[in-house]
Amino acid sequence: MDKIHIVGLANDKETIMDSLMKLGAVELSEVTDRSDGSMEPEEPQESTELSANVKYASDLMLRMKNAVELSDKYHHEKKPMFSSMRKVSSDNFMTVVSSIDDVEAKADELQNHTSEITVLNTRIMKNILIAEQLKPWTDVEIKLGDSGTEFVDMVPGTFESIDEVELFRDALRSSASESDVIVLHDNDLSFIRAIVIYHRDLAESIIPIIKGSVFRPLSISSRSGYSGDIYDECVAEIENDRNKIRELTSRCREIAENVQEFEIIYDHASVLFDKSTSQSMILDTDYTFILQGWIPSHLTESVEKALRSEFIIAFQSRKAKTEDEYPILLKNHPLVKPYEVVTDMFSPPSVRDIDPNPIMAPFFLLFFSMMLSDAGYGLILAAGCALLIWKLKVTGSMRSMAMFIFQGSLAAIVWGFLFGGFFGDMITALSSGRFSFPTIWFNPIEDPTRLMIWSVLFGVLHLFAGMLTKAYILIITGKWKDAVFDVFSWIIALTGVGLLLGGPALNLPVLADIGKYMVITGFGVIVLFGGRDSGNPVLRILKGIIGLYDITSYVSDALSYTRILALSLATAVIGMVVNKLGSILGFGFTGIILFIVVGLVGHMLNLAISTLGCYVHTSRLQYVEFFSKFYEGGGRAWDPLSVKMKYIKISNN
Amino acid sequence: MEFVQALEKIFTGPVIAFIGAALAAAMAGIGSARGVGLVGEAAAGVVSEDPSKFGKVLLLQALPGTQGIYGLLTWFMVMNQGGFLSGNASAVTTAQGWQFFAACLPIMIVGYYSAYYQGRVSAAGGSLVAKRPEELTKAIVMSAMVETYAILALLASVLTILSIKVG
Repeated sequence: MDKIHIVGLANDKETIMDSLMKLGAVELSEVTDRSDGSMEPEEPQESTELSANVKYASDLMLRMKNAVELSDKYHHEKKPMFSSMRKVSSDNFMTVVSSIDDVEAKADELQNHTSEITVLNTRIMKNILIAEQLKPWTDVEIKLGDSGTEFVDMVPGTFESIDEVELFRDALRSSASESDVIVLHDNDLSFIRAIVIYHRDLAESIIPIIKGSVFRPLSISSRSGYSGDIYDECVAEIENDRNKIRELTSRCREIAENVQEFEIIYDHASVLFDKSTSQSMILDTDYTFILQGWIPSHLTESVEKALRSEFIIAFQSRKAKTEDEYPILLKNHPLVKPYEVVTDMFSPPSVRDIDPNPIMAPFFLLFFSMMLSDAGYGLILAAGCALLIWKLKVTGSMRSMAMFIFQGSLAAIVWGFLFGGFFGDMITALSSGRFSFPTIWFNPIEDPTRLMIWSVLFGVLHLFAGMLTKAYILIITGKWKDAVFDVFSWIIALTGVGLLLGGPALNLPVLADIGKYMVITGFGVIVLFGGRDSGNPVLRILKGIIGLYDITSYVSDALSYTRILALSLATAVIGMVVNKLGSILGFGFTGIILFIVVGLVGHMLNLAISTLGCYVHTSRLQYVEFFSKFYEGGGRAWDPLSVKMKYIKISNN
Repeated sequence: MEFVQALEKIFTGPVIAFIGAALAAAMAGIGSARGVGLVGEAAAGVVSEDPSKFGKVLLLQALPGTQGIYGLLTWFMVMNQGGFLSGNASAVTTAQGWQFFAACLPIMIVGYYSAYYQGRVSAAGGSLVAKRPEELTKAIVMSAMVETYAILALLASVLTILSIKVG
């Protein structure tokens, strides 16, 4: 990574920014370096204008995003699960951008119509409620809101049953004699309509009785007039509103056809936004500007050349220093590149780390494929990933994941042959035991201990790779003592433990002897030098002895790799269960049908769950067991100023 | 004496092995059901705020489901090793029946609890994803940490089952 400073003429600023964006090779950073004091820039006069630009762009983005979302709602275009970006020719892009006002107007119209529809819908709901309440009263000429005569007040309402009416009437009469309940006799309703009448002077004592009783008064607060009229009004309004909604919706559908334009303007706005925000990092003087940024070393020269050929600028670059905390751009072989997302999900490497991906990738591949270890599943998974990568052309982290799972599934086919796994034991099940899939190495179900030993062995190699990387980092930073006393001592001791255990098993007692001496050497170094920062010799030895306790963490790390065996067994055995279930009815006509149905569903389910499990547990082995040995992370990925589009891809022809 | 004989009749080798196998599948299954259910409730909350996160939370919801599968796997191993699937069942002695039962204990117990606790971690992961969808992997890895012990229990169960030689 190089740090660059560019000084240019204020007039060229816009065009230089545009070229930088097109080059996509520079990450701008805020100009803070004024150590020489020679440059005292004035307060940037443009700051208000700048923030206005940012505001305009972000506002436009928001509006277009809403418009795109609304369009999707109105315009039920079947979207593929993994949509690729829309291709737009640059001419088309320019036309749409030049008619930006038009598009904005459409977006606003869509937004307004949609909120209007919501308002109308609420009004319809309200009117329906009123109409429902009023419907039984349409044949009664009763004025709502202001009913009764000079001295008598009338309250229409309903009771559940005739008994309720009697009870209510008694209650009413006992407190106020000048009142009555008139029951409107009609039989086709499930409730009883009644009108309570009382002298207005008694209102004070009557109203609490009404409120506390089972009588439910008819109350429509928003309107007054005859019940029949209000009812008709409501029904007409509902009809009217519904028509309006229909109109608006069809208009919205029409507008929604323009979703592509909204997407184009969204991307246009997002580019504008990036440009405006990055401008705030640039220092301006009256006639010049200065910008500072990060650029990958191998691009420095070409960017300088490209800019110099067009503009009058001063261009200065220097190598980034560790204390700069510069952003990170990883450079990896195309086969290793996809694994960067695995590391990035943990945390991108910092300036002090070394890129763990080249060391991690082969182990990731190995563990993932061992856990899956089925030729049939591998084939299907590989085909699925290939479809994603080359047919649907997914991009970004999705592509990376598909890529490393593709590699893993190809390797899983190899392991399938080694372990004799093809959709579990499908061949054996189908031929009722006459044939079986070739097992080149051994079958983990028959000899799980063997696979367990190999899992731990591969795991220990993985751990050693991590420890050696740590040693390498220590050595290049000049701490060779730490490397020898803290890392190599453990590698020797742990190898010794391995030989001590493995020697007798392999009938090679010599190995056990060698192992014994390695353990003694390793532990000796740890005890003698583990506490070397302590001055007191007794304390130092004690600290060293306590350091031996780390053996537990190494042992638990190594045993953690037995999950390879467990997951590989899980995949194989569930596959067997599926085959067994499928062949319950034998292999007659119905039997075969059952086998196909059960096989399809069962194996797909097993494949999905196993793949998820393999990915998750392989990642865990990297994050917890491997990275803990040497990797810090906490870096920041290099994010250059470039043309970033969300929806569209501009093609030049 | 009759009572003992009756007991011997009821608790033959195959029966004890069946009880173990059934409990392994059942307990781990109940645990997974609880775990998946727990995450499902949290996930529905997340989806109600933002339906586009469905795919992500569904992934989290699937995680505590593995213990149930491990239970089924153990059940199958018992059935297979005991010769119950090939009609060789009568060869299982009472002692071997108890051996199968003991072998089922780790996944029976650990499967249940780890599924439940993994469900809790996944549910918390759901709220993590609600706020920071880009941190899905971290939520998954945290949840997978709990599953480790179910895997170890499964290994203990399976290796023990495979060490029992019937016939």
